[in-house]
Amino acid sequence: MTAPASPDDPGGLRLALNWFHTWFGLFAGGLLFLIFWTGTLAVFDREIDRWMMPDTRKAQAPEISADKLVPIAQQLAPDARNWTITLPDERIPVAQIMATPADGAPVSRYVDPEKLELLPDQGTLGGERFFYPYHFSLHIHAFGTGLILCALAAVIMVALCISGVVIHRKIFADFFTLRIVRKPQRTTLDLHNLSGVLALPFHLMIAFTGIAIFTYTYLPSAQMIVFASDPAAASGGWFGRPAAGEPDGPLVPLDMLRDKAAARWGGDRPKVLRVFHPGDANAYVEVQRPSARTISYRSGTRAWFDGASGEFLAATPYTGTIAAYEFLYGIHAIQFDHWTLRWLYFLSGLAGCLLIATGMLFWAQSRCKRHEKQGQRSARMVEALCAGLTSGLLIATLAFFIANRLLPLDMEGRAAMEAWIFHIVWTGAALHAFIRRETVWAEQAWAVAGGCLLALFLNAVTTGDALPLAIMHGLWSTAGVDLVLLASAAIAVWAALKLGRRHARKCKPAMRATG
Amino acid sequence: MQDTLLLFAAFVLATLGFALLALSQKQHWRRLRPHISTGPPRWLRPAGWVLPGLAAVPVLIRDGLAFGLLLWAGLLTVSAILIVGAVLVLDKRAGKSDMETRDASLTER
Repeated sequence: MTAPASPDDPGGLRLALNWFHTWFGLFAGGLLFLIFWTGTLAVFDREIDRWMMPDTRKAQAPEISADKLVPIAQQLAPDARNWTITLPDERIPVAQIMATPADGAPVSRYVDPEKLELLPDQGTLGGERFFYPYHFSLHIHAFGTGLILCALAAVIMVALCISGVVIHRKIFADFFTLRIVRKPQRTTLDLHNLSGVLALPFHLMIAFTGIAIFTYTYLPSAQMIVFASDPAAASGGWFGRPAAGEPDGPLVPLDMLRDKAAARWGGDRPKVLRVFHPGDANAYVEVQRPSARTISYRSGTRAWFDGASGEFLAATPYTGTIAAYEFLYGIHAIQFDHWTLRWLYFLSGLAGCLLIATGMLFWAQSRCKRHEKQGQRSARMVEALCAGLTSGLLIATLAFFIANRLLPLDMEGRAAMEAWIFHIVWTGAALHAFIRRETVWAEQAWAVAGGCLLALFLNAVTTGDALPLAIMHGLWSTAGVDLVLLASAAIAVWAALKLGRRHARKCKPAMRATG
Repeated sequence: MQDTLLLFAAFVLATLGFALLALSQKQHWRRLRPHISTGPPRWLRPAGWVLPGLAAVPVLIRDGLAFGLLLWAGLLTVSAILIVGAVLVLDKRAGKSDMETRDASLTER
């Protein structure tokens, strides 16, 4: 199929955009689904972390002094080049110390805030270090390939949203319409239209801000144009100075620096501090402006203080350009505290997953009869690919959770093993989709249901925080993940039963038709 | 407590608005009022547009401009999905017989 010639009339525009929507949707669909799924999980990355790191579960985050963590950092990495100390908050109720030793890889450990003891290495990447980076880098770091692929997918997503609205013939008449009728593709198309139209503001916002956040990586000139009109923002470099080489330098109380920074920014006390050259006469401390109460994600707004005297050294400027960037970043990354919005983002993300999956499925469903007649295989191939990508990815995610509860904590390379299991199970599910094309949806729905229940059961057995107990003890992160697993299991069972019944009516595979 | 009430008020306004908007469409109106031959009253559509807009007021009071607008957009999505569910239930009750006829618009994309 070729693209229609450039449109001269509105009907032609609709035709041209239909072509774009069909084929770009088909070829970008898989990548988009992966990005939306991992992004949806990343909305609750820290809650997933609590579930996957049982030692870090706490009902309440105690208010502790940053200075109490300094001896622990010394014990963890005495000759470190720097320490990053993160104080507990509502979503991560334990403290965290990351140290970069003079030689070797950085070490990161959680600290029990009450006993002030290092917790054992949790041996997992969890939500924050597996699903969240997956969402924007696909864990492909060579030459920024993953990031550029994600950005390209986001650009296509914006274009798909716009073209989708233009080619949708009855956007208002079908606004509330979901037809569950004998033709499954009618339902698929209605679900595609509904999940797209009803959450359209979210889809457009999330795709646009997704592109904007990393502009500086793939479009450096755009950054120069923007920052050229705001020289203060452009010149706002980062502070740094070498170690003096004179040991036994004193360190001012870190809480005093937090107070100073809070006064400077007129807000809460910062929770993230970095001590550079600890113990050296030239030691200095970097504090990061908190983002909990504002949409803006202010991870780039920082101030520096002298480690010995506590004197203010430098700060990043705060200009209109930077404020706008941080707003766009924050509206996407939701690093603020707002549970209602967090759930709405989660649900909208799921709507995005549904939108993409039904889009690919509709392509296959609306072609399968014709392809069967013509002896073509592509409709069946796309349906299998779609199953492997969607329900297969769900199964892989559950396998990741299950592996986390089964692998021994002291195992060498445990975190990497979990990631391997995720990808191996995903590949297996995709192969299953290609082999058992006729019954793949029902079978994988059963697998999802089983996986959810197994994860739920293993959490109860291996950590003792069964769902009712977790609720009683106020461990809402754990209980939340468990409740979502339970709800997913219920939906998957319902879907499996429906699919099993509907299976008889489905299109036969082209393979068999052609012999 | 006040926060919850404001959120609830916004939710009710938005859901009610979308319900009226759905009813202003002939096919849904006929489902709810099968014995009345006249079409949906003309005030339903403007009311259906205004109420979801008004839902912004409680959330703006609750959360301020930036958070409020985000919350409003998210709430509208949830209320609209609820109305889709309600329409689905109404359709099921009315039977599916006459729905198949409207299937003609289905084409390959």
